[in-house]
Amino acid sequence: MPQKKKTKPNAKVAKTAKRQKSSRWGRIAFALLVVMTVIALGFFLVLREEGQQSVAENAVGTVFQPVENALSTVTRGIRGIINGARDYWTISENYQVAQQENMKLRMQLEALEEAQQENKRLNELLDAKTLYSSSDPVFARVIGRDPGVWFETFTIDRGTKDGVGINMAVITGDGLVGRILEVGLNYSKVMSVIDTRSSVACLIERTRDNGVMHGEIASDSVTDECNMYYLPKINDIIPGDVVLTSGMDGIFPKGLTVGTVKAVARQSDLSDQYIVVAPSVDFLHVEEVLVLREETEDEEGSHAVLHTPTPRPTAEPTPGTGEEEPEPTPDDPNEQTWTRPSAMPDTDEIPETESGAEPTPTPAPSIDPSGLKPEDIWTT
Amino acid sequence: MRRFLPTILVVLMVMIECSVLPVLVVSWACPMITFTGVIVLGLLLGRSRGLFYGMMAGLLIDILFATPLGYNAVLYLLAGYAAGIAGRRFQRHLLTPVVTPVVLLSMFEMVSVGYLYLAGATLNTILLRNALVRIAAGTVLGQALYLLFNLLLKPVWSRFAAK
Repeated sequence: MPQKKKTKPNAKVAKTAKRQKSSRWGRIAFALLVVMTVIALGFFLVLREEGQQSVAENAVGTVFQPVENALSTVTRGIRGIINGARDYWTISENYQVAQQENMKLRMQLEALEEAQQENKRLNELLDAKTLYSSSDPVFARVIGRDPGVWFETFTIDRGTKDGVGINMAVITGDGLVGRILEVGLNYSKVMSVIDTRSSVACLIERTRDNGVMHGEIASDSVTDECNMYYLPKINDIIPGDVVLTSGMDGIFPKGLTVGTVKAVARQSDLSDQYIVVAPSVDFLHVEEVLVLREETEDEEGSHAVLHTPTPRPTAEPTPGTGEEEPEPTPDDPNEQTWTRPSAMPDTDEIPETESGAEPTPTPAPSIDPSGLKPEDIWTT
Repeated sequence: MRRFLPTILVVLMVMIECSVLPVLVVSWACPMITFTGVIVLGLLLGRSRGLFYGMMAGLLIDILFATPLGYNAVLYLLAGYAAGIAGRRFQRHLLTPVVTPVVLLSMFEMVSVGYLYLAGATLNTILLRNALVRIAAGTVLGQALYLLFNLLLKPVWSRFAAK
C-alpha cells in the first residue's frame, strides 16, 4: 500500500513532462511548416515564368498525376458499372413491356387476319347467295367431320327445321361442295364430291362433253382429286379446262363450278380413260357453306326434294286430213335435223360424197318451232 | 362417378376427334383417337365393357358425323370386344398393349380400304404407306392412353394392380 501511494505522484509528473515535451515538438513542427510555406510561395510566385509552371508546381503535379489518374480510372469504372446495372434494369423492364405489347399486337393482328379471311369467305358466300338466290340458299357452318381419311363427310348446323332436305346441293363461293346425305332436326350430314361414294354428273365447259365424276381416297392431306369417267372424246380435253355440273343427275343445278382438269389419263382401253379433276373448293378448310334449298310440292302436298327434270314434249303433230301421205322420217343425215355441235369436226359424220365433189357442210341447227331450246328437249 | 368415367371419356374422345382436331390438325397421319381409346378401354375393362363402349363410340360417330349408319358401330364394337379378350388372356404379357392396337388398327385399315374398293374406289400404293404411319401413330397414342386410363379408371383387373 505505501508503494502505490509513491507511484501515483510519479506517474503524474511523468505525464506532465511528456506533455510538455510533445507540445515543444509541435511548436517546432509548426514553425518549420510555416517556413516551408513561405519558401514554396516564393518559388511559386517569384520564380514563375509567364505561361509556364514553376519548377515546384511541375514537381508537385508530376508526383500527384499518377495518383489522380488511378483514382479517376477507378471512379470511372465504378460509375460505368453502376450505370450499366441501372441501364440493364431499365432495358429489361422496357423489353418486357415491349414483349407483352408485341404479343398483344400479334394476337390482334392474327385476329384481324382471321376476321379478314372470314370476311372474304363470307363475301364470296354472299356473292354465291346472290347468284343462286332463286334456289333459296341458306347459310350453314361446318361443325364436325367424319374421323379418318376414307370418307369425306361432314356435319353442318342446319336441319329440317331450316328447310334442309336430302340431296340438296351444298356450295361455297368457290364451287360445289357436295350434297345433303342425311338430315336431322338441326343438323345434316353432307357428302362431299371428293368422297369415293360420290358421283356427280359433270361436263367440260369448253367442249361440253359430259361425264361422271367420282371422288378418290385421299393419299395426302394437300390435294384432293377426283376422276371423271365416261367422256366421249378424251383427246379434246386439255389440263386447265373447267369442269361444271351438267344437271343430268337431277341433284346439282347446272353450271356449278366443280373444278379444273389436272391431267388426262389415256388408256388403251377406251372404257378406262379418265381425267383427273382438281376441285375448286379447298375441302381441308371448308368452314361455311350454302345449302341450295329447292323444293317442289306435288299434288298431295308432300315436299319432294329437288325435282328431276322431266322431258318437255315437242310440238305435237297436227293430224292430217288423210289425203296427204305423211312425210317419211328423215334417215338421210343430209336432211336438216338438229345435231349437237362438236368442237372438233368428226370425220365419221361427214357423209361420203362422190369423188371430186366437196363435202356438204354440217347443217345449221334449227330451232324447234315451239320456241323451246334444243337443250331443253330431253331425248332418249 | 368412376362408373360414368368411361362414358365421359368416350364422349370426350368423339367430340375432340370430330369437332376439335379437324380444325387444328389437317393431316393424313393423324391417329384415330376414339378407336385407339376404345381399344385401350377394352384392354383395361374387359370384353363386355369394351364391346359396350365400342358400340357407344361407333354409334355416336355414325349418328353425328358418318355414314352409313352402323359401319363404325360394328367396327368399334368388334375392336372393343377383341381388345377385351386380349386384355384378359394376355394380361401379364409385356407386349399386349403394343400388339393389340397394331393388330386392330391394321384390321380397321384393311376393312376400310376393302369397303371403299368394293364401292368403286381406285387404290394406290401410297395408301399403304399412309396406313402404316397411322398405325404407328395410333400405337404410340395407345400407350399414352393406356397409362392415363389406368390412372383414371383404376380397373379391378389391371396389370399394374398389386397382387
